[in-house]
Amino acid sequence: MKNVSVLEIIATFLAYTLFVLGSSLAIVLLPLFKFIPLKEDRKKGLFHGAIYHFFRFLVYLCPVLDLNIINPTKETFEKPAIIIANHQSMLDIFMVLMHTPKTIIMTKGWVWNNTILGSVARYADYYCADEGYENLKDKASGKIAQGYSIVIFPEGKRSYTGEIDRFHKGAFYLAEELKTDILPIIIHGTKQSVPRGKRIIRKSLVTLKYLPRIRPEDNSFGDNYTDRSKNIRHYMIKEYEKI
Amino acid sequence: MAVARKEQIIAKINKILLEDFEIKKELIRPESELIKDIEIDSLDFVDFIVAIERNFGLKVDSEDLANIKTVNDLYEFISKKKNG
Repeated sequence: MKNVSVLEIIATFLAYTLFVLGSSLAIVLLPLFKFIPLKEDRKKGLFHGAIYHFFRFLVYLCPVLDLNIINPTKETFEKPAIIIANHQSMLDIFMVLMHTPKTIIMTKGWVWNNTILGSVARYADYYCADEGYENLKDKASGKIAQGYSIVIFPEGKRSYTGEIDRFHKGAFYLAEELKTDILPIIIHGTKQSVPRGKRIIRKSLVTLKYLPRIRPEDNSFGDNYTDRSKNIRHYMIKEYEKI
Repeated sequence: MAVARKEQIIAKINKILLEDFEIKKELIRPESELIKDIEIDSLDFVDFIVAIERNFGLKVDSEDLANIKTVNDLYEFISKKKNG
């Protein structure tokens, strides 16, 4: 791998500084939210909007990330879906939260135990996978009815090798139970930018490919969540290899 | 004969983990913990019961699986069930 350039060091410093500042600002402002004379749903909507703009700002401002979006179906993210994506780098979280303000992300338990991230996750009504998908079904149903999409990394953790690992079934279970579209996103290049275990943001081309929505009545990937989890993984591996 | 039978059971369980659950081969070791190492979750357990019933012709309760922590526990559990 090439030596780290000055631009990469500056970009990394800027990104981490903005991330810490943004998170800290959220911690300071969250307790004051209860004094804002707006309905709770409206306040949460504004909070989600802030998260969305913050991540867009970070991604588009970062001078070492070239972003290439492939959107053959002209996806607008307006209709709720279970959004699934492969997971190779911490940057993937930025990539999936910058599509629409109406996003709920499934997080790991450690996020909830983190003072700063936990507060943000709780206020934003994010979900903790440790709760079990069966127990999240009702909450998720309410959010989908409000127009939110739910982002899940079905691998459950970042891949060490860059290969798309086994998919857990939770995303497909929720889509089946809630009769919701599955919207797969292929993320390519974030591993080259910030591989697992590394911190410096390296110059790289990041490609996001939005695959066509898979409707609940579409049986081409199987007619149950178990088959769909396997077949959609194989489909995403093929699409990943095409990039 | 009993040894061969257990080997068959082990091979069959490994095949289920590898093909049905797409677990990486290097993770399928007797000492691997199902939840911690293999990351079997609650939905997998439901499928696991179905797979065991289908492949071994056994009736399994979810409570039976509650005490199974490792892959070896699974081998032992099926062997005991099969051999009565």
